[in-house]
Amino acid sequence: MDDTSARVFPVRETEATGDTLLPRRQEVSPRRARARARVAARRNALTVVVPIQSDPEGCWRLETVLKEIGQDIRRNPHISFQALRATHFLRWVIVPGRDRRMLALEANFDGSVGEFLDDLIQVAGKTLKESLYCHCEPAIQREDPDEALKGYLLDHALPESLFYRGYPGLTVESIENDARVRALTNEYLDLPRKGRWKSASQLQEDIRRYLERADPMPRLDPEPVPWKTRLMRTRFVRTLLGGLSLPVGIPLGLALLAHEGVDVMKEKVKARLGRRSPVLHAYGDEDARRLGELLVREDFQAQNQLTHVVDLKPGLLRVPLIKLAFRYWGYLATYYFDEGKLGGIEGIHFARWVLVKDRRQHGKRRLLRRAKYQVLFFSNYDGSWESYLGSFVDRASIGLTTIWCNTVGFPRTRLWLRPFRLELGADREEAFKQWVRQHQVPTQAWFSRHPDKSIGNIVNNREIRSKVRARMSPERTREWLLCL
Amino acid sequence: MKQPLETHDIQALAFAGYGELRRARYIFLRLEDAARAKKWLRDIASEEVTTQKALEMRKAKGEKKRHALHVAFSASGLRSLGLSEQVLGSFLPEFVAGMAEEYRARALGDTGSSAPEKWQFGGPDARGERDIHLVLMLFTHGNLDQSGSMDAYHLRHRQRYEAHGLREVFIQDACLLPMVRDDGTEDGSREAFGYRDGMTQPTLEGTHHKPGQSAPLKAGEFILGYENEYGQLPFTPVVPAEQDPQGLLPVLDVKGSSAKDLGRNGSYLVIRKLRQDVDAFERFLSEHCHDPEDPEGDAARKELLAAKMMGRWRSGAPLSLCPEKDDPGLGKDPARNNDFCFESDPKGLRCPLNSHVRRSNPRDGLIPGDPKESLKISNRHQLLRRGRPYKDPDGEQGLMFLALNANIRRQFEFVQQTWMNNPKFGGHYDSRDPIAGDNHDPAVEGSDPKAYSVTIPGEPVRQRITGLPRFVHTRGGGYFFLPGIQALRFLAS
Repeated sequence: MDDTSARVFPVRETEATGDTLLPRRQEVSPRRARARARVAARRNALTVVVPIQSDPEGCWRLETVLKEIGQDIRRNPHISFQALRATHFLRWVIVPGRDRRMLALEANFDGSVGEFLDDLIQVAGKTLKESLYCHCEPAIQREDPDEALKGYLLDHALPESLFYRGYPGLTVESIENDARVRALTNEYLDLPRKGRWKSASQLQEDIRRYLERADPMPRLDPEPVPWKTRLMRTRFVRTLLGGLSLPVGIPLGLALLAHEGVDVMKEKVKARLGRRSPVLHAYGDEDARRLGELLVREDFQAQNQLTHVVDLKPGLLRVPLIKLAFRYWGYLATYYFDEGKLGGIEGIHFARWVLVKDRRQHGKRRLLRRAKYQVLFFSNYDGSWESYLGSFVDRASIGLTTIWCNTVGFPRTRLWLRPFRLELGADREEAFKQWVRQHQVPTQAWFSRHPDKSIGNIVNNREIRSKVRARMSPERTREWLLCL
Repeated sequence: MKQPLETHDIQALAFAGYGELRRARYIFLRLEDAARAKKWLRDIASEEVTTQKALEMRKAKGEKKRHALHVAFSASGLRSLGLSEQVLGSFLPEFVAGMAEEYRARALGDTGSSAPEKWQFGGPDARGERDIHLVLMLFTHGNLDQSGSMDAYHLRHRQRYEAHGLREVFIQDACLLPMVRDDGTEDGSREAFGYRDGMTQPTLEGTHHKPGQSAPLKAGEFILGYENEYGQLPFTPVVPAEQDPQGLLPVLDVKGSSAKDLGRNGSYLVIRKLRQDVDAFERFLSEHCHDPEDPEGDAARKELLAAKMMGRWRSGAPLSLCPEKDDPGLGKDPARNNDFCFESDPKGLRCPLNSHVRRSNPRDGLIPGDPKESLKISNRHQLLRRGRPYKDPDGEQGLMFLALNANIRRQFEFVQQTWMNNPKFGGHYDSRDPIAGDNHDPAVEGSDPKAYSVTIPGEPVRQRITGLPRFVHTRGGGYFFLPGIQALRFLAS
């Protein structure tokens, strides 16, 4: 059939002639199959964005189901998230598109996308088909086979422009094992005892024995670290690789600055012509209502989530500039920043930026006019919103500004002459935070595998576990005991 | 760029803790009739509200101050005075929503028996009859047993505000408690648990810098209209030019704007009544310090545990300077008792990471190994504290907590939520501030005592106490706007 590749999903046709009502499956074109295989092989993260049907009844149904899931994420009747053994975080959120709303799925897990989807469909395939994706466009049907659902999700998956992991290499299984090691160690230390504590190394010995007697015995040995990783973690190599990025970074910064400058000039000309922008920064009723909607979902456990959607500024250079910025920070995140710290910020479990292209064309196509884009940002972080955004401003304002200055409404970068300084958009603390809140979207359903563990806890637990059996100098043993 | 402070327009509460005016009375009022209330406000704005300039002039003449008065407004108070929703929307959203909001109660730890529904004042009120519109703060001489001068001063004002249709919703007295030395002489003040009080205060740039105090902070952290620690002017409430026909307010300092600056020289005031459960605190210390093999050492162990939880000995001496043994001389010396940092103690072996002093102001120990960055970040979350202890006639005692800041969310709420009540602070698992945090409260549904612990680092291994009860309970509170004098005149017009 010639329209297979244009169709995202085969149309259902049933044959009423036979005695069985079997759906007739259509073949997937080889090109599409290859694309799917490529997506399925990616690891650790999946982002799927599908437009939602415009009929209000279906929308309402979809929202109701998501609300039921979100209100009691652990005991809801639709999906038992706890059964997803390798999933760290997962969310469904309705994000505003340019003219219609979209359902976004964001998940972080161990292993490949293909394995994750098999798991997800096995646990929740029925809900996905009957309650969620049947309200999307194109829609999935109740009777569709699981294979088709998987293909559908793979087809709508978007690549992450910049993806960050707080603890690369740590699986759900090992995080839970490490937590158990710490719990058992505390159990041992709480046992009634007589007299004073023994020496540090004797104490380590006793703890090891206690752990080895536990049933089932937790895994105690450290994971082997390949020599390449160990080499990459040395300060010298990191500084060297970080330095290598400067020839790209400096021109990028200058290009962004020049672009900002042009924009400011344009606005000044407009202002001369009598169009003045208001300086009031009042929270209207609408803003207050939105803020309330976000706040009721925050601060229930060790982590919080952030979903942020904003339009890319018009202008031909914006797409290449933001893509270059993503590449640049992606390079540094991989080769320069310490494990568990993004530009000095601790406490981000997983974060990612995704560019969404609006495929629909509006009006006449003009030469040199580019498609509309949106920048989606998803984050799973420790602690309160205020502390998260605060550390962004305090420690990573340059990174944020190079990415988000390409989007609508971001506070302007300004140059002050006396005293001479460059004020980045994200340095303007109150204006920046207000902008983030204005574009933040309430997340309907959000699952965290580790509701009681901060990154600090996860890293510390690993430290405790991996050194239980290690032979250490008295000094190192004392340091290790201070982790408890 | 350093601007001189406009001291004639700033209410002196931003500069003075009134250590010599021992008694304070906070009168929470509701106004029935805006026009009459404005008349009263006009009167007190011109004569009574104390400004820093007035204090300085009196000091220059060698006069002693006998009393002081301040006034601050809640969001509903500003609304009743006739401010439009548009103007109210330019105040901080936290201020407009109020302290008793459901989300905020969760973030601040006002749950269980501290929940806003159980508050004495400031709680949610469906009919609005107990809504607080403004708070009048009076300060006079006297002490715990002598309220004579306060009563006389209050009486004078009561006649005036009652004649203008203002109704009292709640009245709270507070009084500085003297710290009594062994030889019976008084020296400094203390709070209900018996610790010396009022030592760490941020110093404002442009004011007198005392020895031993931390480096001065930008005035914009506490007073609107000045540059803050980010090098920015804080968000300020604004009034469209046409709503200020008499030209009482200054024009906003933003290019291309004709709007008037209502916030200039004002500040946001956080008030909380915090009950301190002294019996429970002492009981907890005794329970965990008793050793049947060495009963003589109980008292010393008790003081050590109390110091480890607070981060200071009760004398005021910080653990960072004397971790083993109390040094009362250091405790009372204002030039030395605050002159310490945490950088050299990353694991908290001297002053536990978890202690109240270290959690409420981590100084240069916030990020291990980076004291400069730590200090920069800590400085962005400071509060000017103006609280004093109270003791109610029924025996309840605690702290009337008052704090001034320019951004409630980034300063007061941040310290409360991210530093004090966050169980993960400093790499912990389930430890809140052991003194003032929202620890185990049986009134909170489904709370498990095992999930509340205090860890005291030590060698070879830490001491960990689980089942830590909550010692400080919220009894009421609210967010207020403390206007400058010009803004006060505008509100009264």
